[in-house]
Amino acid sequence: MNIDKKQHAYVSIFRQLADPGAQWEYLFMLGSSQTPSCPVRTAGCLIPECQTLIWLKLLETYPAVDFVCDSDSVLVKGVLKIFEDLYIGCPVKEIHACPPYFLDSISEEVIYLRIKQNGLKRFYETLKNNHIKGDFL
Amino acid sequence: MDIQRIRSQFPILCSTSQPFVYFDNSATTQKPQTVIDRITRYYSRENANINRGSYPLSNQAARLYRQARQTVKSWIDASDEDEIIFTKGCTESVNLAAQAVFSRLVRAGDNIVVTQLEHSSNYFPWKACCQNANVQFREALVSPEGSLKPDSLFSLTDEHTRLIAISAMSNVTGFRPDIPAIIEEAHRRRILVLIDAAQEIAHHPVSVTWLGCDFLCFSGHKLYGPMGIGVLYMEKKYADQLSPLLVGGGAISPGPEGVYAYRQSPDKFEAGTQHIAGALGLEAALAYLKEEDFQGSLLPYEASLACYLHQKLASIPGVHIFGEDPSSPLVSFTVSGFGSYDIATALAAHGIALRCGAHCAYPLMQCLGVPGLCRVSLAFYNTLEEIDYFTDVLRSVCRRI
Repeated sequence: MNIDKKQHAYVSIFRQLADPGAQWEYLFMLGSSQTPSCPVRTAGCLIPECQTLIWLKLLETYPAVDFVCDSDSVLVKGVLKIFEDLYIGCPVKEIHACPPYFLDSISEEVIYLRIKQNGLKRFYETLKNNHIKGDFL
Repeated sequence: MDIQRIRSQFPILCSTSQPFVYFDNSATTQKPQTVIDRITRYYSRENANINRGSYPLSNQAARLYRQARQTVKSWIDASDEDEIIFTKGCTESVNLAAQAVFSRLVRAGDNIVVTQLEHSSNYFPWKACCQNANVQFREALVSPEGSLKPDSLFSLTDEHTRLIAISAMSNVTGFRPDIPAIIEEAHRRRILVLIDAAQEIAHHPVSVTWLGCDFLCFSGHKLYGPMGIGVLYMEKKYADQLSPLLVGGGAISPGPEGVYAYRQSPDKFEAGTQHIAGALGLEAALAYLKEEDFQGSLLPYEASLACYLHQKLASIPGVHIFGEDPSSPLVSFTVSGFGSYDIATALAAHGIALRCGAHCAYPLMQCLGVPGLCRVSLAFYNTLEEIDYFTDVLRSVCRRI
């Protein structure tokens, strides 16, 4: 399934879980199962300017993306779990063409606008820009 | 104390039928109707700029503004109203003090001492000035529990230390350093002291005369007054020597051939049009607190709430409280298995407002070894029932793990 189809499925889930409380429970459930495969909580991996702490470590960029990520918030880890499902194993161009619009379907009472606009957007930008450069880390 | 009567004086607390528990008073306090009315009255019937017009409305505004300054002077027990400088808030007060001190009293090779307790607004202004002036920025360490002993401050001082900037009450843990002892020792070593009283001013009486501090600052909006107004107390002997942060209308006296001189304090430090309505709103807040017996009634009630809160919070499995004072109206905590943001959003869904994250106190958070904390900060309009509701909801959230 490509990124867009997967994302569409997540949007449907969040729209069905229209109540913010239900979305909170769903993200909490996702986040509780999100465990980084290697240590990532370092200063160099920290995404700046986010109310919660988000870490991102790129493992591979070519031919397919691989990364580990983490957050001090279980809810945000739930969002990161979705990022993992969408983008890990995908080629650069496909990631570049598919920004995480599923974030708009999550209530701002669950994931605040400034977290979406700062930390999570920067997360995607870091993923996208490093892949465009083709850097190995 | 008749808590329902007190709460009825705060319109926002009565504005909704939904649960609304406001526990973020360290960020800003809610305003009594009398403060809101005072600002409305000013703009409805009294608005004019001061020290510029020569008509009754302007003269009246000038008189009211001066009266507000006198009220603040009395509140913090200063000796002279010229020592009271109005600013936009505590952040501007610290920046003004830092720029002023660096303008005359600090040289390359000197050092300034701050602490790991500090809010960003009493940390970065000093750091920035030090970087620009080739002055050493020294940081006193706090214990892993977030407390600070005077020794850890004075071990960093020497003959080149010009000033210590220190919070009277941590905005994270509520910890209160021994300010009188610190000021006494600092002055013995000929070191100036600036006190950040942003949190302290709402929870304890403050006397700059008794403390003997050189500078003290706070924000009006954390003391039940409006946003956009703050105070810098600057001891008179410094006001004459130091240069202001802003230069402009009302602060200078022009002379021939482009020469100018600064006016006397406080005008010197209040260039441009001031937030007159804000000053009057702050005055109304102080009048309200005095009328309701701030020291004799409001603060003891608040302290009893704080003790109850600590007791209830400590009984919840998985909750870890930071700070050692069980009577502190500020309580920060973590919950095992949750981030602070998770707890805050879960509580917000039940109408409970508290703050989460780093609280603009990054050095302290690093020292405490946590990425974020939830913080409950009480005011005298909170109730035991609100604390019960909060702890019941928190307990049910914690049971998810």
